[in-house]
Amino acid sequence: MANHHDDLDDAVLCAGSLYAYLQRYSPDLALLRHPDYSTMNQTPSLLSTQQQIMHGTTILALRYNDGVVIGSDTQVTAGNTITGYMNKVLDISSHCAIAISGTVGVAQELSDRLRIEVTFYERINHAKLSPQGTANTLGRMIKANFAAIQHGLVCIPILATYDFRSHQGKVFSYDLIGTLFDTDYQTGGSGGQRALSIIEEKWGPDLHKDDAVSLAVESLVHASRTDTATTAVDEENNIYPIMKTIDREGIANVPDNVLKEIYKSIKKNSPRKRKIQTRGA
Amino acid sequence: MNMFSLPHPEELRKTRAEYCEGGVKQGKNVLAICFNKGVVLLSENEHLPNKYCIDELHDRIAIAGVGEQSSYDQIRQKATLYAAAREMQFDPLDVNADSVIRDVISPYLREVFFNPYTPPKRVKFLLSELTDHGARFYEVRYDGATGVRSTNQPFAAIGKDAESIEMALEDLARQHDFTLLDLAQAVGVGLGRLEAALRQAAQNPNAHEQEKKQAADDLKEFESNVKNRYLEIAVLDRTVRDRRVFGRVDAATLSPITE
Repeated sequence: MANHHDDLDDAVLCAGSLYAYLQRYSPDLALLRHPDYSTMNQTPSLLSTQQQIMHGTTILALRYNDGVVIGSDTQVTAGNTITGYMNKVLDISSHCAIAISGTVGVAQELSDRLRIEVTFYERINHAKLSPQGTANTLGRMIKANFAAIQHGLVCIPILATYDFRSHQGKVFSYDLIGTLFDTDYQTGGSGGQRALSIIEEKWGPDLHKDDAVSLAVESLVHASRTDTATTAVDEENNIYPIMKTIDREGIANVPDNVLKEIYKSIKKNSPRKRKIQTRGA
Repeated sequence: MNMFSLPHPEELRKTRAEYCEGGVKQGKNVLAICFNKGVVLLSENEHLPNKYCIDELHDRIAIAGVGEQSSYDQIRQKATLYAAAREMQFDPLDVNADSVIRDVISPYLREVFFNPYTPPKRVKFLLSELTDHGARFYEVRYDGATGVRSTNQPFAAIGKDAESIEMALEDLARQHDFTLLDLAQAVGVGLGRLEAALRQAAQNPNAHEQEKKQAADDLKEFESNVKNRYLEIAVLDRTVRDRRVFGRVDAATLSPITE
């Protein structure tokens, strides 16, 4: 710990932030200050092919009348291998979660740091960190990761929280350098654009919770139809996407059997896959 | 020529301990006892929600203090920061009360206490940690000295009447199993002991007139605080399905408090 004579300096300079404090006194512990980025230039083969590095894919979040849905598929890929299935929607606090796509290693670091920082704030101040404050903190962390982005280690999360001041859900998204967007809905990852097209068409501010969850699942299924890195539903292996709703009461998981029902009704109404006639056939 | 000389550490210890005890005496007693779901901590506190004397230090650790509010807050923040940094370095499960005391609270208090150029901290701490099967309590004094309660002791208290409170609870613990009490019962038992200790102090025949008067005032204040439910109550609840087990209890929502 720092000498106690510096107490006031610490408190003022770090503005009560654990992250800022660590950047100052223990940079290695602070986010993503890997000392080895300079040497990465010398090993471009590893990073350019992305063979060893795990990636997550489609994520999304959308507001509904009194809350927000945040979800993702569960598939993780490395290169063109499916490495496994994991939860990519991570709880930050009682009313805040982030969905992560991109490099899993970076995403884990990002979500851990953010969770610890938000918890620290709550403990010190006896109050919740505001949604905007949480989003700004995450934005700063993404910005700190910029050196890694140049080497292909990209992680752009989506943040979903409940705002007790305006009594509504909030969706925050970012670009590569941590610019913050406060939106109604957002998607990310390789299947993100596909999913977005469905949400854009059907979203409205008065959407109810159940409809919002259905819409989220539908857009994921749509994305997985064309994006090889996304598996929304795999009925045989009982794999369903992660869907969480955040409202006044806190975070709730949408159970698999509900998702199963939704998927069934989507499948019934959806068009078949298009077939392409090749010349030889 | 020697303009002034620094006091001998032994002299320093004596005078400063007296000074610090004076500060601790001005605070309200804090009590922690086990109940069926974990640990409940309680104290009278009429300054809620502006000032707290019981706080979450980490997922399974609560910190409570008696004495100067600013000193308590300052050291609590240091300890909380250390715990968070340790969680970041290793894992939440690797943060324990023992390490926080050993690495931060104790050395800091000791340094300030024996440095003749800094005012000592007039405060005492009680750290409660929920373990797999029970709870552990640690008391840290203004000079950094630590008193660990024995593993099977299901209660701890700090403050000016801590000794008599703990003695009464020890008697009670021999007859009853605290882990069978529910929250309201445990709070009832705790408040009963706090009141009994204050009453005992007010009726102490050996005390000076002024001390007696002070104790009588304290008792009156306690009774009105209980009546108005100006109580700070917090629990470490092992039945919570979350990593963070610390929670505050609104005293107004508790059913009528009886022993």
